Amino acid sequence: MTREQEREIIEKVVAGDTEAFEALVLEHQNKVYSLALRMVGNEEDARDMAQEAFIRAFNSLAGFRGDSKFSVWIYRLTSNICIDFLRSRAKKRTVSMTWADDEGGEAGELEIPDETWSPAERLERSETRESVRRGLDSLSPQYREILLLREINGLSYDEISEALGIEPGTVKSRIFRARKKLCDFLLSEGNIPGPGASNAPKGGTGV
Amino acid sequence: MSRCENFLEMSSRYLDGDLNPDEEQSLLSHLAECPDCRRAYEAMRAVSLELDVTDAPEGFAAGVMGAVRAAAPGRRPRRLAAGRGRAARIAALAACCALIAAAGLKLASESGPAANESEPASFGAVSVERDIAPANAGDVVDRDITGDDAEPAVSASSCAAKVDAVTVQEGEVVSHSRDGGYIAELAEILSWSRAAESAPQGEPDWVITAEVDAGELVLNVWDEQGELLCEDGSGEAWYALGDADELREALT
Repeated sequence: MTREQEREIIEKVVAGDTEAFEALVLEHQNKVYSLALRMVGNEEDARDMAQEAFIRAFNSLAGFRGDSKFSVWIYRLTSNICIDFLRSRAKKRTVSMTWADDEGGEAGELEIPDETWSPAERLERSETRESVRRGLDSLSPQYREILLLREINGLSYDEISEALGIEPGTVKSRIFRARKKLCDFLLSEGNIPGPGASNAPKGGTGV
Repeated sequence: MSRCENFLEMSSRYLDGDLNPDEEQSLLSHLAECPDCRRAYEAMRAVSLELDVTDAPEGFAAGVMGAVRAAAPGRRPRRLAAGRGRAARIAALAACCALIAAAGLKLASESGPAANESEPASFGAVSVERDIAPANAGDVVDRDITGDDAEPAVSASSCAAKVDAVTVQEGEVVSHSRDGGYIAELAEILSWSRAAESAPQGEPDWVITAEVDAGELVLNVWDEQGELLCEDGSGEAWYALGDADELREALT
């Protein structure tokens, strides 16, 4: 979809043509869902978060100025929604951890791993995949967000800078720190991918 | 930053295609002779390859469109409220309905039990707008309004009679208003966005009472992580379209 087509569709939707919105959903659903999936770590919540993102986008489409791409805008909406969700989930967990503290256990914002994949699904997933998922869970939502915007959504440093309102230099270093934490996690789990075929890196950032 | 740390940072930028040819050359020769950096780079690349796009589940777009159709009426009143004269009056009327709908009140005498109880905001408001606001209405500035073949569920006049005033209690502070525009804004903010499992325990952050000719209806509203969670006393709970900041702004 070209930028021009996108703008036409948005104008239609804002003018009251609700059905025109479907084209935007179809265009962006996979990446929005993928982002949500990696942010929240399970399919059911990811679906809810992704749906919520599109609903909010629809409701505030009139305020979308078109300075940035629709995709950048909805990815940011999605990650915000996911971060809010993760916060409220962490809060609930913290409550249950308070009881553990009474018996001398360690209280705080411990991430209790979710058993979110069914056994069959887990079997299908490679060890690396599982390890990456656990590693993502161990990252703070902010690190997870910036890494996923780059890796899943393929946003450039500049686009991420714009979406998150931080300096491009900060984007680079934050992505690096997120990657490093994730890799440290993989290495600590002993799940070190061997030197495989040297695939070319993903598409550039257009720098 | 140590020398290796520097190369690790470059590895990350290399994966993003951010290195110039000189930097790239320098990185590659370092990776060839430093097993630790090589290993870290391989791990980063493995992560990068692992983080790919997963298709949205079957029926996802259809689900979004269903929700969006239900939400569509909710976003209209506020935009209308910015207008003047007739547009503002229409907005106020529509919003009255939305507020009633938001409160989950069944418009028993007019329409019987609401069929779509789980989506309270979707009944009433939309029909009213369509009923009383033809596409060519002179000073209706909103391009949103289109003539439609939907059957009105409630009439504008019955709706207008519904909400006379709204009282908002926030802690010790109580405010009262009969301003249609204000009621419209509250209604918009509080209207249904998605179902909530249940209302939270404890005192609500706001208690909003709408005076209607049949009495009054009470809405309990909580600020939950910035989102507004509403409950109408019957156990029906939902997340509102607006957020807590918007509500605070509207109340000031």
